[in-house]
Amino acid sequence: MRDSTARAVVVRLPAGEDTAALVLRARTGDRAAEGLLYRRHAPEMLAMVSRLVRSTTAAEDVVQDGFMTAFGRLGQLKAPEQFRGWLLSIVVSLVRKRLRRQRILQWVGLETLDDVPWSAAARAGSSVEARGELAVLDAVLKRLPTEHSLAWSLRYVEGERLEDVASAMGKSLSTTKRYIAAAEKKVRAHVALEDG
Amino acid sequence: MNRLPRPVKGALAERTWDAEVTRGWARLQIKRRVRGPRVLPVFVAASAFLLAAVVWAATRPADSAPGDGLMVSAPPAHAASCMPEPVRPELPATSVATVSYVSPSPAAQPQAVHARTALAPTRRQLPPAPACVTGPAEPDVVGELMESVDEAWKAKDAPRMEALLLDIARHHEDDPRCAQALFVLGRLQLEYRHDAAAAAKSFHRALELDPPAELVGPLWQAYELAHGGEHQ
Repeated sequence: MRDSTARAVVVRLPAGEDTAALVLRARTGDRAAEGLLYRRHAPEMLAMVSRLVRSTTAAEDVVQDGFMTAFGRLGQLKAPEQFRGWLLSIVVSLVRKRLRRQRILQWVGLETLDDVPWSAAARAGSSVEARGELAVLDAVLKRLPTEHSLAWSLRYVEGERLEDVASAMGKSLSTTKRYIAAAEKKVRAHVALEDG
Repeated sequence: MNRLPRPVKGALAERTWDAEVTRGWARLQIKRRVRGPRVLPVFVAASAFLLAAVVWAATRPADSAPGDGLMVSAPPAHAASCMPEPVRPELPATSVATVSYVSPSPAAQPQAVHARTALAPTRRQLPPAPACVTGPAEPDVVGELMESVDEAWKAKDAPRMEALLLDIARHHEDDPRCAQALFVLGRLQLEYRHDAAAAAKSFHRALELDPPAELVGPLWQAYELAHGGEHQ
């Protein structure tokens, strides 16, 4: 028995399966397809949300709720191949709510304890100056209005395309541009950034 | 001058999210079950009932009639000196009979306290609770089957192992050890019989049965392996 285990052929992972096909399967109630969709997109969403809300535990909560909502409304998704963008819009909406709640809590003096500042999350080997710039950027973004901060972060922290930011935020392209420009002006005044 | 890159995430450390992803899937299942269409109305109804009960208990008059089953204890003796003389109602003649079967208060107490205590209901003695009758302990069928699986494993009898595990999977889904049995069954099917489709089904069923936390990771890994083999 143990010998057969040792000789077992390791088969390939189902990485090549199309997202749209998985969405169609998940719509019919296929839990396995849902699981694969979750495992495919959850790491990226967790990384993104943890940077946006500066908390790992909050990010886990938001991403779980996001997937739960997405799986519940899968029938409303018109283009299955756009699952990632659609999921992003759900998650961003939850992040916005979370950030607003965090601001209210901070305003009444109940700041969340598990806040992870960017300066502490800097890449290993980063210079002191880079860490300092990250700390300043973190502070500036926290002072901006939630919409401006979120739009700028999606565009210049996460590197999302402008159209995707607008779609994720549920705003028009021109409104999104306006938010980003307003945030960029404030950020530029305090932080040294590469040209966009 | 040190400029931050765009996108800024390039300046931030990357990490793996394997543990969070695995934990998240299990929690997602629990959240779905709790907030599911069948559970939510029950939860709302239970909350409303509880709230109504709390409101009723809070607004209920404190000095209920003796017959309502709730006991109102008499105030302590030392309180009598600081309490005002209560206004005694004109009791009808039948009330005299009522006073006769309640416990008399000590003669040393003031008159007001005596009357108050006399009107308080006596604490009824409950009959002793009957001894708990327990029947013969139910046999641990799954435990015995698992022991047989272990024996079959030692005897390298894979078909018997499979038959026993299938028995657990088919007839004892409610048992918490069923997920573990399905995991072993899936591995047998994958590695011994090379039947990836059957193995994927077993792993999938095990994942649906709320496996223990330490089994979730290996189950997912095994499921993905089997699932890949199924599509080959």
